[in-house]
Amino acid sequence: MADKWQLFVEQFVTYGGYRTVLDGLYATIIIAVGGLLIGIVIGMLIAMTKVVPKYSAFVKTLSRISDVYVGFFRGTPMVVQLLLVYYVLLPAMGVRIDSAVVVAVIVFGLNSGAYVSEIMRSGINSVDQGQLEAGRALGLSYPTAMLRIVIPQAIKNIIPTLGNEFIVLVKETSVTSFITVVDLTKAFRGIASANYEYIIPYLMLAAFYLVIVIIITILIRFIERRFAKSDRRVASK
Amino acid sequence: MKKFGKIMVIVLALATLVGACFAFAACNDNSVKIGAQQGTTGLFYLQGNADMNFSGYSNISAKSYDSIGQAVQDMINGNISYVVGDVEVAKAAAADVGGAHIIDIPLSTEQYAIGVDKAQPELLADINEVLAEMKADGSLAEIIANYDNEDYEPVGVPAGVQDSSKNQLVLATNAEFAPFESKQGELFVGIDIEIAKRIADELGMELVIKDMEFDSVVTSVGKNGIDIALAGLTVTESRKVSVTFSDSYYDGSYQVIIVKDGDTTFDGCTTKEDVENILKSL
Repeated sequence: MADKWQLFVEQFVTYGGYRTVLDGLYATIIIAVGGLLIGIVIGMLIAMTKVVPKYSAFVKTLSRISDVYVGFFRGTPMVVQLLLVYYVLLPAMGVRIDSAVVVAVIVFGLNSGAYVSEIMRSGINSVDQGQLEAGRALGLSYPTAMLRIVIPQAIKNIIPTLGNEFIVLVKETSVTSFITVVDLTKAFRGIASANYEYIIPYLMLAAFYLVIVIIITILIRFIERRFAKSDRRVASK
Repeated sequence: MKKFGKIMVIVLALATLVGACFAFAACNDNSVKIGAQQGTTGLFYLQGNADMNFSGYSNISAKSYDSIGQAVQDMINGNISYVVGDVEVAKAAAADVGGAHIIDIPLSTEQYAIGVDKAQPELLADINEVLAEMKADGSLAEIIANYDNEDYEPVGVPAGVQDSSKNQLVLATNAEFAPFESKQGELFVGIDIEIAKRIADELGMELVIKDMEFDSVVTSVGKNGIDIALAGLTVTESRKVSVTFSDSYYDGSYQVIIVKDGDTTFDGCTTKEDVENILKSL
């Protein structure tokens, strides 16, 4: 074990492998955070087309389009979407993007948008219909009643699930090396294959992800508690 | 509600039964397992492939790994019987992982070349010129000989940042293939890396290295600014669909079999036929 540790230290410290790991960590976080932010925007738009009453043909069409979108991005694996966009779609369109991280952020955003839309829809549906009706009866317009009464309560409900989605995104970044991104996993694999010595690098890799996810979990708990301040219920400790 | 409960119990019982059957079938898989790196000619050899001019082994199930080191490790762990790989890489992997050695009998003859973007014939001509020069002045042979020497301390090359506004040579590789390319901390080392560095220097370009899955190396050329592939690539017909190959820079490569130390199955073999006959009879 001692010599294995020595090999790892040599690659990690002496030859500067930690710099690749830090770059990989940075890529992993950028992709997950960027993906979630884009996902929230897309998800919000899609959820809106889903909950708005379908009186006009326009809303109906939008709802149908978002069905196809959600169907595709939930129905295919992330790695397939990455491969399709990077090796098929972009070259076919003649677009050349220097940074594969940008491509990864966009694909992660599109993918997460599909999931977040469902999270948001269920959040809005979880608020009692009577709340909206009461608002409308008091003379508020539909958008105002939605924005001021339903959405604030919905957000409180979706925070834990949204946090879950964020954790999934962080771990899912490990497949981005298929499109030339050097993420956390790829960085440690480089170190491991320098001597074909896998034990310590892979244990360290797992520890890195674990620490990231624990930090995110603490953050989510914190946000949840803030949202529950005005609530009589006590958020999970 | 009671009825629903009963149905659920039956469904669960059936699912468990089916699952158990599958698990049992998987355990009882008697075919010999041989490992190779995903997308490499070693795997093509085992599975049979028009490029290798070989129909493969019907009695062997080939298992693919992300790197040959993982395959050798899995063999040491007892999950597969043998590993097939390119001779130089196989030798390095067997030595690094330990407890394994190669049977040095060529199962194929292969040439390594540089895969160049089809849309850049001028680059191909330039690369061939540099390669010819390196062969003439002996520097190519020297690089290859250096990596045979255990005391050689290679000079690492940084990955660099891709920027289409600069005059760059963007290289696709899979740095899990020592001695041709591997990581040394944050830097890249290896025969291919040194050749690429020399080419970039001679052409007055900045070298950018993109490290990716071996599967992606050939397909990525010509897309998103990647100019060449150098990853111990054997010249094959199917790869010529995606890239144009330069002149060969290494023609001493062949597939060999890696066995665990103490495994005497192939000890009596002297020719390719001997090895193949044993493989067929496993």
